[in-house]
Amino acid sequence: MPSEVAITGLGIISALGTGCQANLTALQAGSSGIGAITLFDAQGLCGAQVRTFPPLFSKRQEHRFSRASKLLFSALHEACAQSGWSLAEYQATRSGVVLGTTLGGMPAGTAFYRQFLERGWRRAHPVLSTDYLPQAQLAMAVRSCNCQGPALIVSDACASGAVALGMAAEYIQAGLADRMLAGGYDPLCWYALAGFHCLGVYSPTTCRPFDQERDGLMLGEGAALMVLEKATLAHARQANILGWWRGYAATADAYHITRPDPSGAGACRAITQALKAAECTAAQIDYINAHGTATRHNDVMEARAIERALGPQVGRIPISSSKSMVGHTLGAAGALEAVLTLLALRAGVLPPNLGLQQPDTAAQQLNIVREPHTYQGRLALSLSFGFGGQNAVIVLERAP
Amino acid sequence: MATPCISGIGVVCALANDAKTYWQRLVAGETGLGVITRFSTHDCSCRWAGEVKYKELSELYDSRETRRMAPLSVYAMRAAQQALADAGLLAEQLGSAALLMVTTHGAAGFGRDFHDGIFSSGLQAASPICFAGGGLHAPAGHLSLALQIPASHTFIGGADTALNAVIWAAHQIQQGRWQRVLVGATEELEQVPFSAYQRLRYLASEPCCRPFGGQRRGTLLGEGAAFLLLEAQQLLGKRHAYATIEGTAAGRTTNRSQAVEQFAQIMQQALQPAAPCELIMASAAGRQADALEAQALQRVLPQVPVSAIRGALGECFATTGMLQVITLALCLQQQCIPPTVGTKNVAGDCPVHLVLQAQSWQGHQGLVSVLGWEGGAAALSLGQVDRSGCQEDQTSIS
Repeated sequence: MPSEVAITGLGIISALGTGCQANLTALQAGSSGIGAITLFDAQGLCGAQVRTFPPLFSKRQEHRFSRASKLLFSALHEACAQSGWSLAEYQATRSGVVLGTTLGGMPAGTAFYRQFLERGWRRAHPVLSTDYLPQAQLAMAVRSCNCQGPALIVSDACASGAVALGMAAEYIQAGLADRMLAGGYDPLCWYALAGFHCLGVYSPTTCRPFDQERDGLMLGEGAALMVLEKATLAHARQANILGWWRGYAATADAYHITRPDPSGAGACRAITQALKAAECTAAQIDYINAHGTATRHNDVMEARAIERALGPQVGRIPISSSKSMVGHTLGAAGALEAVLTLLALRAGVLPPNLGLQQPDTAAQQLNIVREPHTYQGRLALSLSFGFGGQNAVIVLERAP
Repeated sequence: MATPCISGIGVVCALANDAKTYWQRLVAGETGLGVITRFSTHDCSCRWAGEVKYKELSELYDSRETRRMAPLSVYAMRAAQQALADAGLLAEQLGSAALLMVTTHGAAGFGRDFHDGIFSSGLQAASPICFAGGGLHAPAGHLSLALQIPASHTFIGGADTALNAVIWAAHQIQQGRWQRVLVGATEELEQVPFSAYQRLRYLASEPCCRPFGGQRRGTLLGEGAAFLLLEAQQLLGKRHAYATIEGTAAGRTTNRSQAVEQFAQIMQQALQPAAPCELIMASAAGRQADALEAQALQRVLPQVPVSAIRGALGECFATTGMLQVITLALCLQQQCIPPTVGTKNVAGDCPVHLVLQAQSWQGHQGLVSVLGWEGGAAALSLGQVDRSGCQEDQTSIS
């Protein structure tokens, strides 16, 4: 019998703000974090950039941390403080970290490549090359939490953050760890913007998931982490339990190197397997946080997958994509949206799917939330369907 | 609970593009290290590495297909296909299977070309091929597509992450989540990471590296891919297997003063008390950090023979971690220990019983020890397959 997993800490930083409260307030107000990109010359394209960091960093950290590390550290600080991570109830060897990312410290990598290509290798700063690797951010997280248990980085495209959470829960369920810090992070960078632009999927206007006139995704940045604990130990220390990890599943379409399977078969399999793992039915689901990138391919595929997996329940369950507010945060997306989902469940609010005018014909059956409103739900699905058909679905439950 | 065993292996590295030749050349004490031909090293103090014979490999695939794949994806494709063939399975026979890939630096060549384009000509010059094929998860994407595997994940990290991947896969099989997991690592030699390691003074300025050796002066880089198919032992039927996973442990060393003790504890945790450990496949790479591993080994297994493969292949990070597992599995099956290529004299600060000449061996259990990035450490013990009562097909590497 696998161990139950409790969620005792949440940490988040996104274009909506720093911390759970700022993000929740923005969700309730239906605000968007999308605006002009000032980090680099984005040639007029917009994105969801984090504007300010919390005043957490020492002078040395301010100087030494890459943007990726700052994002991660901000979320880590909040999640650990909320769960009481520093308490001595847990052995360091039974505590671990799993992080999801697609870019690691890519802004530092781009700076290194520029120096390398323009000045030659002798003048390329080696610290930039180490900051570029995701291992640098993992090492920072492990040191900050004083963990000696499992420490991993997962890179499963845009499902990375969700898979990181899922693997962390599996470590606890399998008895390999008692407590895990898990989630995802990715910084906004020129590399990703240029990449999605050249694939023809970057919106020149705004991000409108599931809309008939949608014209692509818009990048964001951020980090989101959860502290997952073995439930018996969380109860024993009388931890403040914020929610329950109910289930998770991950699948691969094995269809195309970038495009998802248009039939939605792989994504549908992930939803049904996650419901099975959570031992619940579609009828019990109260909200779906969709992947909803606003690309032509994803939204049609996703609508089909949800319809196939949830059958007649599909028109009942409210659904929205947070990417209309926080942009597509890539490796962070799965975790960031899971954290937003739990915050929304706890606050009794439905986050809106901004920008929706006329739903795509494929999404006509979906009950898309257009405005934020109050709603009492208990169970929710958080969907992540990444580049090349990497699918992950999480089932979360609000604590009573 | 199902017992995970290694039923197929695939190797692409500087020594060979197949597992059989790899083993033969390794046992013969040959080295795959040589002068770098892939890029210019005219102003570098290090000019050597372990390069894969890429042309030989790329000719196996359609040129249009390989043009869209970074070299590390081609290496992974070849090694994974070998592992499946070695296990006597076709891709469509995999059944309930998952794919787990590890890479350390990803497709650095595609990354450089992509950046080169956008620096010189802006967003409009970005290459979709380099972006799609240069993602960290791209090798797993290519493989899951080619082999039609319905679940795939990519871990990023060094040699300790490779062992963590095997550990994760073994647990998945034990828990019955998957019947088979194809686990592999891949890495390509590229000028950008090479020059960064050169700047970080990580590389030797001589044509060899000397694991645990006196006068060791750094390591040399390598490249390649290594795959193993892990499956539940009861699925084997008459098919052969190399070894079973007997014990696993992973963790981190926190600081220099406690590192030896902490690494020793991780090794101890992976050992199975029921059977003595008779061979260690170590991660020493000719660096000063070799002493830490040697001292931890001395605490846990002082008299046990130790062999290290990086002197023959170079440091391929996660790939060498996976190759350590494969090499120990081959030792158990072939009852032979390959020599530690590159080392002539064992250093005074490395108190290990290092195997310097290939030797025959009659052992039943061995340990892979890995000290990786930022104190990451892992150990894995492998045992001989108990096939009493089974009629085995002799289709193994021998």
